[in-house]
Amino acid sequence: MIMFDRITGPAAARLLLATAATLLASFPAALSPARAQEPAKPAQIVINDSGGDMQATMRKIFYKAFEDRYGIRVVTTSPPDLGKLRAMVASGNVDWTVTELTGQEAIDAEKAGLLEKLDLNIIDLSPYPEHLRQRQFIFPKSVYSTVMAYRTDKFPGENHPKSWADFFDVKKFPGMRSLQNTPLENLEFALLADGVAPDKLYPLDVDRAFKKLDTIKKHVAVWWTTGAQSVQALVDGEAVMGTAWNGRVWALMKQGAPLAIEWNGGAIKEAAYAIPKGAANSYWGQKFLALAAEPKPQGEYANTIGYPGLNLESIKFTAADVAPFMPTYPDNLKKQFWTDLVWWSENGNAIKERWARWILEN
Amino acid sequence: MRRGLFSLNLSRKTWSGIGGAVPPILYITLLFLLPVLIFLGGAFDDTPRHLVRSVSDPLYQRVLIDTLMLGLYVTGICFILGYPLAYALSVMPPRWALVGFAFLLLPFWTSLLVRTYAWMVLLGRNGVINNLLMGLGLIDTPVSFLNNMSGVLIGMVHVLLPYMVFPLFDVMKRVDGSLLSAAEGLGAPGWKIFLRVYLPLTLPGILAGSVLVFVLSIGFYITPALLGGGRVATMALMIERQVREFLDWDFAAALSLVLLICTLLVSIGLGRLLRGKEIHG
Amino acid sequence: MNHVQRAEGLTLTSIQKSFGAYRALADVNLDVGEGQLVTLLGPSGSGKTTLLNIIAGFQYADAGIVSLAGADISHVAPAKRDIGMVFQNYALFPHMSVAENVAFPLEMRTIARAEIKTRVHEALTLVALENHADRLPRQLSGGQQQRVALARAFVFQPKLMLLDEPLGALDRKLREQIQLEIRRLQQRLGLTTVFVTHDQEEALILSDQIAVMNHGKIQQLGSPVDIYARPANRFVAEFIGESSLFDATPLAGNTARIGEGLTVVHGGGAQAWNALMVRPERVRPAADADGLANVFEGRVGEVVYLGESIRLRVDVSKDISFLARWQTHELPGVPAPGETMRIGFRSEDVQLLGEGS
Repeated sequence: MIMFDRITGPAAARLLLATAATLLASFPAALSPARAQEPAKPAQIVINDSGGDMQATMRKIFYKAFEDRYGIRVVTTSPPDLGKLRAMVASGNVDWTVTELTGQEAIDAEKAGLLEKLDLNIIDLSPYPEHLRQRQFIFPKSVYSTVMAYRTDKFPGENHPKSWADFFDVKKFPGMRSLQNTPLENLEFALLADGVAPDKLYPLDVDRAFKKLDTIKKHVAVWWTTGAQSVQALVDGEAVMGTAWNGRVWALMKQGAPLAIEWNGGAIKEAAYAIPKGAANSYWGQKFLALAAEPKPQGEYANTIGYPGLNLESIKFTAADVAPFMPTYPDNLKKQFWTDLVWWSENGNAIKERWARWILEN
Repeated sequence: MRRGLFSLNLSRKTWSGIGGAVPPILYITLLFLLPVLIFLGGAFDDTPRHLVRSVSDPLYQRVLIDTLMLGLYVTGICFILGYPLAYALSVMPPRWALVGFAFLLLPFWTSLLVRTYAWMVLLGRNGVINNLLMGLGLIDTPVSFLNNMSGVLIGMVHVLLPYMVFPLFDVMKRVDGSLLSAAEGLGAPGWKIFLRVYLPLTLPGILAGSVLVFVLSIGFYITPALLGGGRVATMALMIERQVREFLDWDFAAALSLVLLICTLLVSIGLGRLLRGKEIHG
Repeated sequence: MNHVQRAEGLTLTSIQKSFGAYRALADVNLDVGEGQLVTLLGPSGSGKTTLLNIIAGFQYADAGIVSLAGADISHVAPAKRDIGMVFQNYALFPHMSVAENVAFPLEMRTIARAEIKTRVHEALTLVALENHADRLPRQLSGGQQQRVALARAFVFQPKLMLLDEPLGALDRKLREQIQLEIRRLQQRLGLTTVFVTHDQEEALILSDQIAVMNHGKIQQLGSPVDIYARPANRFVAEFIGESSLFDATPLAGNTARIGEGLTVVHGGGAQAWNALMVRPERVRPAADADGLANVFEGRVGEVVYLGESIRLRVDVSKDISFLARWQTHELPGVPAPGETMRIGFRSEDVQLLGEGS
């Protein structure tokens, strides 16, 4: 049986656990007592996030604040995993009080009915942009952007790529590229490079996007999988320009790496937190999200890691010198487009299979 | 006592032995086998459409073949590197062999991701190895070790080598030295002693190591994804994506089943190929 | 001993070997004539296995010459020495059939396939295993495995056959049978053979010559009769066969004192000696004892009845006892412990012994 376990790796291991859990432990959820007005404080809550630097910063600012305020310990796990979330909810044995959900996964989770409704009496979304104030399931924790980053030693001064058209122009800007190994946003970038207006992107012209991508395919040195890998490729010189998440690039720029961000055409989107359906102590999960909605910690968080919150007042707590490196900085914001995660949630699977096929074609 | 159709003529002792085995077997069945079967059962759905798709879709055909080939490459390289290494360790004084094993096992004491990123630092275009080679004047432009098949092979062999070396070492330690002396005394030159006596005697180790490495290599997906720069896709990656991103567990089960069967077939084939004839252990 | 290089057989000249400070072999000289079987006999640690390894080429001597069939092979690799060796554990290749094992040395000599087949068959017939050619070694009994090892060692007509305690793993009855088989084969094929054993009885049965080894030296080289009847020193006397052995002080004439008030008359002959011995079958019972040079009266101690013979101890004083072995049919009855009886032996039955080297 060891063989099977290894064949499908951690994914299978998770599944096995999940299925075993389904079999053996369908009781706790059913037996948990009806919630009182102010439920008793548990010893701890579990928050599942991306880990790494992000988790360290979350702990320093949000988790610590929560622990100090309520005397409830915050235990962390990682990474966000839609499959695991589904297994937990299906088994009724939900470990996470709150979990991060990346990009399109948040919408998939909501559609699959895996999330607990946000209690807007507890979580104050009134200082948020209009369109976010009535959020039902997905808490808009912060924003991040997939941006173009390039090496300043290869493209010094003003002679650097300034648009996706430049990115796709290997004659004008020679050198290898790196892109994320997913069609999400790469299709958008290809269409922008091909002359589609940012406000006319969706619904995506998938065929046209792939056709444009064909032109750059053999100049892509790395199809990256993890955030660390995206910037590693640039720092190591595997590629002279590539896509990366803004915070990752900024962190290296602060350390003096010869990198710069081109905000033009960046794909901005929400990083979401949510409470899994049937989570134990979900009340305290709501309380945590209420804290996460406050402007002060959001500002501090942005100062440290470069991912600003969506509370409009948080800008008051953001340092002036770091603001220009935020995707929400007005000059930056207007150059970017919002990734339509709903569209991707509806159309993504087929495109992702096509992408896998396309990557393996020679 | 009634002796029915199913009554077996077993002694008390046998029965108590079986009785003792029941709890662990039940435990394994309940906690391990059953979930696996339930999961794999998803592949059959109402119609065999998932299974048909997993074997007929060119994408999954291609990835399956790539995965199996990758496994065979890794196994082959592990054998080529591992055999002399295991031999050296088996004839070393035990204290030095221990040091050798420590180095061999080093990758197990670091996390998979750290290990993989370490290779990226070493093998990159501006990496340690390329800088060294260029500094020595051996090459003019950096060699692409990374983001292609070679990077994946290096990363996987690094991790899987011990699985080849340990079974080999074990078998080599037990090779009776007098057999080699006997062959020598009977007039065999060194290479014939190796081919006719040593190699066949270590075949069980080669077999065990190869099957182990092959089967393990089939399950890799982070290393190929990171060191292959996205160009080396494995079935595990495809299955993981179905489970995690698409939430299509039934199709994931079908892919798993196909991979499981192919892995078994290749392992058996590998065994047949290497075994040749029965060997006394 | 004067060593002359002979055209045939094995000659060892002044072989020395040390392992660090430990001297395993100190100046060993040995001649094994063509077609002869010489046994290296000695306790463990006596150097016999080291000597065997030096002959086979698995170890090299620090000094000295190994020559085989007239050629100096001291520095020749084992594979080129043309020596057939039978190992203590047989060292049969477990993954090869009986026939393949026996064919192995022939294949190494690039002999035509057809001839290999014939010679393997002949060899297996000689050891009566022609019907087991296709079996694997582990499917055979210990004795059969031993015979396969033997066939493999002689099939290529080596210049020398070496056997390293080949019978140690077999039970006594089988061992005796195979000892005779080995001797018969060796004589029939005219194989020059060196046989290592620590079993004195085996050495006596098999050998043309026995080299008794101790402390890295050959203590005595001689025929079984020589070794048994005329041991060269105290070690050989003690190692081979049973005896009544005493520290002895030379007295005037051919007499020696072996204990308080006990003197023995001997036949003389030895130069430096400080002990003497008498083999048990030389000690006669009372009736015959009269008129012999040495007569003692003592008390019968332990008596062991062996069927056709008895073995007994006669204590003639507190410290001095004689072992005796008599054929039962020559005796009126079996002596009982505690009985008083007279025993005696001739002066020429007494062997004078010096210290071994």
